[in-house]
Amino acid sequence: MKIIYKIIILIGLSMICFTSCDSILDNEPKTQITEDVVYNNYSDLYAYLLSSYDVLQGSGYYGRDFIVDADIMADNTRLSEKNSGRFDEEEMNYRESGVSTWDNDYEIISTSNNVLYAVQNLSNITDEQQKDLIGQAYFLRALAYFDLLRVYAREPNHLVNNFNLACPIVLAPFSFNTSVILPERAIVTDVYAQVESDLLNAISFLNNDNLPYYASELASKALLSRVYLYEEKWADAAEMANDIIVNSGLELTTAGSYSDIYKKDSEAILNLAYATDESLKYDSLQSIFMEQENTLTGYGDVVPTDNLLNTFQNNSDRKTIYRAAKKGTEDVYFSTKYNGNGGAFGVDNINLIRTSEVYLNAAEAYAKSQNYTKARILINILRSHRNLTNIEDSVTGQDLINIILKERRLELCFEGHRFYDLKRLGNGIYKDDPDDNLDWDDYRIVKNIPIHDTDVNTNLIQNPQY
Amino acid sequence: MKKFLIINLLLLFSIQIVIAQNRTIKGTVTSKSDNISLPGVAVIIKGTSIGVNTDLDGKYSIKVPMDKNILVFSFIGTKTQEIPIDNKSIINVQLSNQILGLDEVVVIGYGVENRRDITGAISSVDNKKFDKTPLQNIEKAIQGKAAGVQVTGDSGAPGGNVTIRIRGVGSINGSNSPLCIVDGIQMSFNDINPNDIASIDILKDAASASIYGAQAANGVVIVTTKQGQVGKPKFQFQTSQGFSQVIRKLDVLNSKEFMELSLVAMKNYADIYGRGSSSYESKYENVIQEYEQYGLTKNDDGSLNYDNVSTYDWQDAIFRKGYMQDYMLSASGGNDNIKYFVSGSYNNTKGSVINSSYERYTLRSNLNAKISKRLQLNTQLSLGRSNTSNVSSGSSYSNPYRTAMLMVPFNTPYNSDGSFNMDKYYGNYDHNIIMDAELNKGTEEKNRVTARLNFDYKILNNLTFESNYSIYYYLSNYDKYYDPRTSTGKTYNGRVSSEANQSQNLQTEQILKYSKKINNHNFDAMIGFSYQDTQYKDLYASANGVPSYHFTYLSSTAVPDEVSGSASEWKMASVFSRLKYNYKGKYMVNATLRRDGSSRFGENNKWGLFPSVSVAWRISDENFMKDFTFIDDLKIRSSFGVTGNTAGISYYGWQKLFSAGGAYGGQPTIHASSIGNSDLSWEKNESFNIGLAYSFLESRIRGGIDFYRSIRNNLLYTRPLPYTTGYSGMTENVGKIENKGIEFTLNTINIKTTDFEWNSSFNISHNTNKVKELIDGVETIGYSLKVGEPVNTYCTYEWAGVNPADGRPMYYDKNGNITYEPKVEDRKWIGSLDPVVLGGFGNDFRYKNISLSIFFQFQQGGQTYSSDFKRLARSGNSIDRNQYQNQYDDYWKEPGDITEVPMPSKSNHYYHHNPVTSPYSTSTRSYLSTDYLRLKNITLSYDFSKKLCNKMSLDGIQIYAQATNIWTYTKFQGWDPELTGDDTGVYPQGKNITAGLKISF
Repeated sequence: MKIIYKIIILIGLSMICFTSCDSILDNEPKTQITEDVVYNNYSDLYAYLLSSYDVLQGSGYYGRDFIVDADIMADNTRLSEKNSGRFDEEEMNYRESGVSTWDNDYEIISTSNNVLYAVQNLSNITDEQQKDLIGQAYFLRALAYFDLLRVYAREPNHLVNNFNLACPIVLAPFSFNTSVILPERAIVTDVYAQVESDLLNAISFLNNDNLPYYASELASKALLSRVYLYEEKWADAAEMANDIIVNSGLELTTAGSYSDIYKKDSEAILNLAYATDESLKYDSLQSIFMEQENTLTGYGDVVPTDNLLNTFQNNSDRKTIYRAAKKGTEDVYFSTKYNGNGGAFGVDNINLIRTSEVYLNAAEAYAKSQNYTKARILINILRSHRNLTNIEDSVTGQDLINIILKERRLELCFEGHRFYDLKRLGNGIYKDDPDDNLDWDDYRIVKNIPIHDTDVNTNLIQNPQY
Repeated sequence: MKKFLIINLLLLFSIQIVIAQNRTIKGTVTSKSDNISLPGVAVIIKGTSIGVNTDLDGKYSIKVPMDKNILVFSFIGTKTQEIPIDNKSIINVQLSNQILGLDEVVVIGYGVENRRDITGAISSVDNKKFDKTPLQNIEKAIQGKAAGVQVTGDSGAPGGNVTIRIRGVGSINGSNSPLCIVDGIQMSFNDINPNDIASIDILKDAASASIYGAQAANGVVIVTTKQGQVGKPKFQFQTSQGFSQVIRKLDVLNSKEFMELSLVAMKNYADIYGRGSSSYESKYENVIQEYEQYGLTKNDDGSLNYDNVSTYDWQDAIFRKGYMQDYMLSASGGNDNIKYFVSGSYNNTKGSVINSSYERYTLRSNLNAKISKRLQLNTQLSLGRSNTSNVSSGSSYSNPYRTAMLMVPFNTPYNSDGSFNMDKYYGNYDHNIIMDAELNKGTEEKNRVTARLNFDYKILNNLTFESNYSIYYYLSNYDKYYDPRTSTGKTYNGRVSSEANQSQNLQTEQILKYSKKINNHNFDAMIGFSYQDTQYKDLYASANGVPSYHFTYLSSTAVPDEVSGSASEWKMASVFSRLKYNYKGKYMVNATLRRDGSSRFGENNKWGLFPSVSVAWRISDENFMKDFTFIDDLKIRSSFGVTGNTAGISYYGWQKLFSAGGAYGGQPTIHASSIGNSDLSWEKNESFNIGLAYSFLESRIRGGIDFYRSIRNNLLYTRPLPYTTGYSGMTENVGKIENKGIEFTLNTINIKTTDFEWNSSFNISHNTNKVKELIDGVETIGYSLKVGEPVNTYCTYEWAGVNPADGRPMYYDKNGNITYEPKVEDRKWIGSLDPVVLGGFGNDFRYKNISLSIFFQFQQGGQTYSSDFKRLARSGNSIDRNQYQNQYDDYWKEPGDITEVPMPSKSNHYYHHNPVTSPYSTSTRSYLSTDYLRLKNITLSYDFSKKLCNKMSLDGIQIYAQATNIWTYTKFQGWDPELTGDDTGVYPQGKNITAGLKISF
């Protein structure tokens, strides 16, 4: 009898012990991996870093919206008469219209923070791999913070009513125990300082082996020259851009071969690469900018304004990129920069940073530093590669600056610059019809912070008048 | 060696012969209460399958072998008696009545209990209540029969899913469905032969369900299949054949009415908005010209002539008379050593919508074997397979039963040459739904296999060990085909997609049971351990481009489109224990404790403890109650318990994870997909129940009342996180929901004589549901969650009717005044969407061999959002879709008209330059009451007399006819008020009439 009771107690106890053993409930997911795996394997960590490029490629970012908005919210493009209704709010600068990059940028920032943290503990990795990983992480984080600055804040020299808030600075992997869950917006100059610091780090870690589809030393220098330009740090901008022009060996595309920039990535410093099966199809830049010649495939809604077209000089190489067509009953021109050059409809590599911009950065920076000679030399190099005559030595001062800014508009249209260039110059936004121009302090020039974050994060102060 | 064996065999044989001597026992069996002789009483020799029945005079005579000493007397409604023979040759027996229901066995978790001794709230549904109703889903057997349990068919499609809610809704984002168990295996109720079911028991309060711990917060439904009985083999064959039809067609306009209404809308628009301007006049003329292509003509005086306009009834075209046939065959029997129940069935149903059908096969084998004095082995094997053929559903334009009501009535599906009309369609709905339903295919094939092995080992007389092992294997294939000739198929040049899902659930339990009796004190103890592992896998492929419509498989396609596949798994381990104390059946105490661990719970909350305690007091056994002789039984019971809800927690939700997705430069990339939450755990339900079970006047009046209150907290909710964290949200346990209510059941025996009987049953329940807390400090989330309101509710504009002066739609603002343009602050919370009162009542009549049973089911207090109501009730304003009949009959025509239908005006322009909110924006007008009273079932059956049956060497023949959903009272304007959630594109419920035959032999 007693033995039986002992057995019962034994069975009971063993059952209880069994269930205290957590390992019987171990369950690893089959289609996803844990942090441990990603942070301790180079190939996984690198694939994780690459997801930032994937984010940049989306149609909500550089894949379409960012590029289209930069021109249509300003004076470079308009909607054709017959259109699908896309970008109508942007054309009229409606309140709360325009691309919102907040969630995408913080995803990129978070990825970079995690990679930078994990790479310190990663063994089995060569020096080169480590430097490349770190450098790219810094570059991408800098790019994300720079876009946040451009879209959601004013430039340091052009604040409105002294409202100087930009975006929260987050530099470490997120953890409930250690991170600030509801961070405040940092001051514009602090965020610019962060961007500069990240780019300088990137420059020190990266080489140019991966040109032009991944971040590189040259891409970091070029982006930094643009950042200095926005900050109006003319001397730094000039020096950085000039360094590239003199030392990099990069060439402008020769006169007569303008379309090579888009067909052959001839000026690429950093281009987003698209494979043929990565087409955004009807959501691509090709689709929104053009109707195909015979099939009329594509929306072709966003076309250059007459204002833009009339600014081109007749023999300019740049003009050759525009094709006359009839959209419905309307005579229009289509920009053929994005022409399915990647081998399928909707597949094009997108120029994020290219050599022409570096020349333009340098020229403008020199001119604003009153070094008009150097500025004129550089702008003439660019012009000569575009089948245009030289600017005469007599042109100087504000006139020269205006020409450089005009060249910038004509060179970089349809590539995501116009609106932000006008904004950083503090003159206001020009529209196709000057009556629609936005004053330089119009609240709509800066985008509102997404409601998702302002609802949750009570420490976030919304931009004025939203 | 051989010699030894042969001698032993010979000895055995001789011993057999010696023992085979018999004695004859005779006697009469009568009823104790009134001394009437009882025919048909089974007299069985205990330990064998040998038995006889008493004859019409209650007399029996039986030959009993000398080595058997006990006769068992059993009869329905009386207490079974076992009488030792000893030296007697005449044994007369008096059988006394059972108090109905008390000796009924109720399945509780991991065991059974007599109803007299249960301390929790458990509803049971006997199989006789549904054994003649053709059911594709066994959940429907419970509909309206158990107080507090709401059963809704999600769709009227044959084989469509069913939703069960027990005592209200307790979860926002988790699942609200109860735990479903068949013979101890946790599985869905798909594809089970309803004739295999012996009983369905529903554990409603936390104390009964708590033994199932972290999965039982929504209640537990336990289905038990039939087991073999001792006795000679019994066969049963049953077949049903019948017709079904949709419950109602919708009353929509014919072509003349449609044209007239549209033209009124155009005219009003031109007059009011265009102020007679010529451009608006020409738009009116344009519409007339379009109608002229469909038969409209003008008389000489300019008036319109509709004589040549024809109407096509699209609803008639897509509805048909469904046909159902059902066949079931079972065999059961056994002796003391082995009992068996084996069955097979076949069901073939053609649905009431064209091209929808369902076919099912099942097989089952339940064996109980007594291997030795101490060891019992039970096996259960079952196989189920169904094939469903569907048509498009939801809001798809190809959905036949949705588009049929919206289709402009002068469109026809056929051209004059008989071919399918593919492009001559006026209006918004331009899919040829007949063609799509006939040519496109969607077939779902489901296979289910269950196997269970159970050992019961009697260690001592009062100590048993039970060991169970089971596997539930489920495999389904879903194949879709878009024929290249149809309008959808054309864009792809034909499209094939194929999906395969499989899941496998392994379960084991090891249970020790002990009982001890000291004088009148009974103790029962149980401790058990269980472990389960569920694995799930799926595969999907789709591709486009087939050479012709003859090719319907993936191997014939030209362009691959999408490929995906995944796998997942979850595990659970538990210890559970129960202690029961019973003193003389008068005082009962029951306590359970369960500890559950699940792989789905976060690291910091892996294990949970779920206790419960319940007590019962049989007041009627007390001395002070002895004088109340009209009371057979009166028991008060009360319980409190804690259960949890795991369903709704994703398998890996607590882990911080990264997943593959996207690519760059030819390299696939990895994204951070979920921040995880180490504290993630089950939703918790603390529930209190107090109830009364009563039986008066010798079981003539019996039933129960229960009051309950449950608090659900730690609800699953995705809390938004700022994007600066790199994530948009995190799943957490927050919030609180309260359900409280009352359930009442009453069963009466109204008349009982030998020739005529009339019994009634009634149950009703009332449930109120309230959100008590959301995430900290938040009172309202969006327009559907607010502290103080029910969980399922909505906040919308309040419709105020139509202004009699000008026909404009009116709304109430927040102060109760009329406005034409309500603002956000004017929105109002509209109360519960779920029904508040549920119930059913039935009457059973028997006259000699004829039985009639009538059952009604009802619900009250619920409402549903009907987006299709919004499309069908817009006064003809969009002139591109058909409308309800009342839109034409009752529209506002002139000042002074009082009506609910606003003035027709194209594009909702009601008043020149004055904006007005369209009558078909969402408002209380689009929330329709789902109250209904339904004659759910009426069954008439006739049992052939024993004499006739014996002539045919059969045990019994029964023929029956039954009708389901045959009459409904409701104000609901959509297809059917029985639904959960939005009714857009839901396959309408049907009514059916079947006739059947049941033969036992």
